[in-house]
Amino acid sequence: MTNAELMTALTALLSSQLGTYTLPAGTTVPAIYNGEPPSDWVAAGVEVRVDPAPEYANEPLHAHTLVAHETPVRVVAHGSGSAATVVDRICQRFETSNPVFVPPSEALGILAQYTLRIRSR
Amino acid sequence: MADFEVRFNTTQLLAAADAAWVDANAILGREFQKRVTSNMWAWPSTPSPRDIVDQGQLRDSYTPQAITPVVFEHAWNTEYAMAVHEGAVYKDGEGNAVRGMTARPWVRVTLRDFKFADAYAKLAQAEMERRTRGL
Repeated sequence: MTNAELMTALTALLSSQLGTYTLPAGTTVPAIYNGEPPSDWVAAGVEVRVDPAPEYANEPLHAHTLVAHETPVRVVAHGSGSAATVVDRICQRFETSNPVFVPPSEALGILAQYTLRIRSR
Repeated sequence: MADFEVRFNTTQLLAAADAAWVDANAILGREFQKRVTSNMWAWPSTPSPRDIVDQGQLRDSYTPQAITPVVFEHAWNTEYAMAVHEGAVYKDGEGNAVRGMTARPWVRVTLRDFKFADAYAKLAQAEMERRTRGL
């Protein structure tokens, strides 16, 4: 699955759960981005960031090695919405690694978020 | 003719496996910390690559602990350990600018590169041979 195909699939899958980006001109778009969104876009609700650089995982099999393509995805909570629900939907639809929760820290400004990798072969 | 009987001292063998488990996890712990302190992580500014030691809190927070004879815990007890490992989106300055911090997954990289099962098997074999010598 190409990155573009994955973006299309995720946007359709998560349409009712995604938050929004507010652009400098005031327009809003769904909060899902391939890479790092522009710094002047303001996210609200649940944001999904898809890493455009794939990772590869080697899985040893009986007689050879399977190379699985993995796309890192980050689900970030900006106030409202449920990042956990978004993660659940992704895991139900795709083969993924175990989601990892990054706990928030007010003192350090770290937002609550999950990381996981969507696998495809 | 007398029957031929072999008895295994399972207590001895299990004790050997337990000792090897602790030793193998000690080696694994050193491998984890090696990847924290090695200049192997790409950085957007020079010097790059560099380690992930800043003030040393993360490195020094490493706590290995045998929880049970079959469960060993490797922990880094800082508030930001998971954020460093997985990368994180965080609010900068006044709380409005949102930035991304690159992941430095030292545990995942170690488990990918270091053959823990092989190390444990070798240690267990050596320990069992040592304890059962003379049987």
